[in-house]
Amino acid sequence: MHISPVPLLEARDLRIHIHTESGLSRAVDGVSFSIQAGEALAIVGESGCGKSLTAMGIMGLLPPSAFYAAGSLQYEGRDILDLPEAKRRALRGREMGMVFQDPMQYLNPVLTCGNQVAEPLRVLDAQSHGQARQRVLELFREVGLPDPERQMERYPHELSGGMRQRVLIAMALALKPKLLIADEPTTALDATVQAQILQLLRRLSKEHRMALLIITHDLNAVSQVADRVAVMYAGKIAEMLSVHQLFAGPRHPYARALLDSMPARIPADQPLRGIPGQVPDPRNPPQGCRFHPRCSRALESCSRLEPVFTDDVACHNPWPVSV
Amino acid sequence: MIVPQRNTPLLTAQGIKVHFPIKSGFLRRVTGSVKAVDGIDLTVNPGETLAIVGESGSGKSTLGRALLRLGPMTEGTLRWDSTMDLLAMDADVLRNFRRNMQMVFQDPHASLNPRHTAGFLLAEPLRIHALASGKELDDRVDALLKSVGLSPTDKSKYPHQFSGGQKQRLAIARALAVEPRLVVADEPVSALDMSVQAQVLGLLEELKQNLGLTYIFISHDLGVVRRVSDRVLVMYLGHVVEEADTHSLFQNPVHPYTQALIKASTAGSGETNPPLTGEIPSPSNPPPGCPFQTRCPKVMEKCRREYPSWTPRDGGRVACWLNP
Repeated sequence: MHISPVPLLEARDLRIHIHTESGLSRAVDGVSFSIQAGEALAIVGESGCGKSLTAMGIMGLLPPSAFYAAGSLQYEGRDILDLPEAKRRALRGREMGMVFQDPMQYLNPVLTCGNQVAEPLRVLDAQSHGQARQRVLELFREVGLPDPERQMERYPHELSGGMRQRVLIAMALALKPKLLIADEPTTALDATVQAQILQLLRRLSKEHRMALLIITHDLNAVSQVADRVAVMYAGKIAEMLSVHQLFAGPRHPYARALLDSMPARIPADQPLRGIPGQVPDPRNPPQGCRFHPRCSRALESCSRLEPVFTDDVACHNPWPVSV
Repeated sequence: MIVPQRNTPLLTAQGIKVHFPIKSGFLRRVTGSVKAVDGIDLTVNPGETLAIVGESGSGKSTLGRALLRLGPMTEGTLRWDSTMDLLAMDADVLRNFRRNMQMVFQDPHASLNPRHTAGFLLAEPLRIHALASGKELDDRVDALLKSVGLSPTDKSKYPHQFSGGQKQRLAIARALAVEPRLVVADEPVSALDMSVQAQVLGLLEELKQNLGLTYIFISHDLGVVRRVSDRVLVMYLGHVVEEADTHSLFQNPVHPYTQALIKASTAGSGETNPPLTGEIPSPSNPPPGCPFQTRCPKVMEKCRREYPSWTPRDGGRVACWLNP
């Protein structure tokens, strides 16, 4: 794969904090990664790890109580965090598209699918009715909606979950963004349909050299779509690795425990345990390494010293590299 | 087809059909029907975990609800312990009988009333079935919380104060409060994170062993099903297409749909399998012949005309013309 010198998107020590009634929540607390054009990066983690907030932070769609506390976010080499809202808005849709978990929530139930996908084209691109219609048909074909003319006239409730997600993907692609962020795009779908949608996303990313950022908790989905994986825990990236390394044996104890939580990987005579305990409260994270209270490899120093992210892993006592 | 069992089956269902009328036009005439479940026979043996797998729209949740008489049923018979006719029970008898069969739903945010505390939520079924009162009620609630890995001090908390996994633990405790024999768990871990899924599945396994429960486990996640179930029914468009003990089914899936499902859910295999094309057809307008013929990579002429009959396979049976 061709790697361009300047990444399309680069986050450096990105921190997004949230004001809550019970104090400051450091939901995203020092996240660094980059994505190249045409690359598919997955951010994997449990709910509350900050993966969705990271995505929203990139899109500039933070909830009112959240704010960028530190760090930078560079898009094509320029920092976008300082941009005024109007310029930020111009990036959305045109440069960055987003697909969400539950398409029904993001589709207007009283507009036909054709009309809502045409909306960004007509409003932002000032296309005529006829032009927009042609483009929507093209998009519907591209995302593999069967009988696209018919789907144009249908309302979201008349479509299956997989078809709705395709409509949402078509909408996100309408203005040919360079970055597509997909937040749990297949969580609500069935296995065979999930495989189709993931393959579609991967194909679109490769064909259009569009960077793809997938936010998910599902390792199965990761294996089907991503090139690289960032495993997040409690607001930080625990490990950055290739999909192959993830399934061969990650080094960070959290990443490995997550892998070992897949029921199919546990022998039948061993009980299913998952990871003991719970994700820490981001308003009051543990001292030292945030994973140490749940970690089977924790050393004494882990409770005092925060591990530095070096060599793609943030751990004082990582597992040895598996081949 | 009912195979005589040495043990009496806990639940025997025959010819279950659930059709929903489609009304259209000004006069709301019935113009068709959604055949959500279209002729299913099954038995649930005491102590087993029977998994029902399939995509959304396959009818698995509708079937699960119909089996507990929580939803409508168009046709069929439903027997408990081979003797009691569940369909003959009137509302009062049924309400009492519900003690025996409980349900755990996918989304604990939706299945737990946000205005009640955990303690109230657990005490409510005990009160309704007049199983305990006063001090004993408190003790039972404490014991229930402990049995699912929560603490008696959580009693005064409201659902939103619990994490997703804890909420599902609470929902499980609520189902178990009345000491049921059969628990239908409809996608009980699908809404949870991976590490928490494993915790909750571990809890379900442990409770089953300790309490001698029987589960009907409805899921789309074959990784989970492979781990937790003894026997699997694979549903497609309102029909069971294959049925076998879990080991045989995963070792040797015979139906092309089962094969595709297993392939699609194998993580990290490194293969880029071309997934099945298309989606499950609408149950209001199912194709003639085999329900899977529109997506089947091995479809034959016969499949388009005739519904496949059951043929035996190792450890079960399959409805596919490829397996004569």
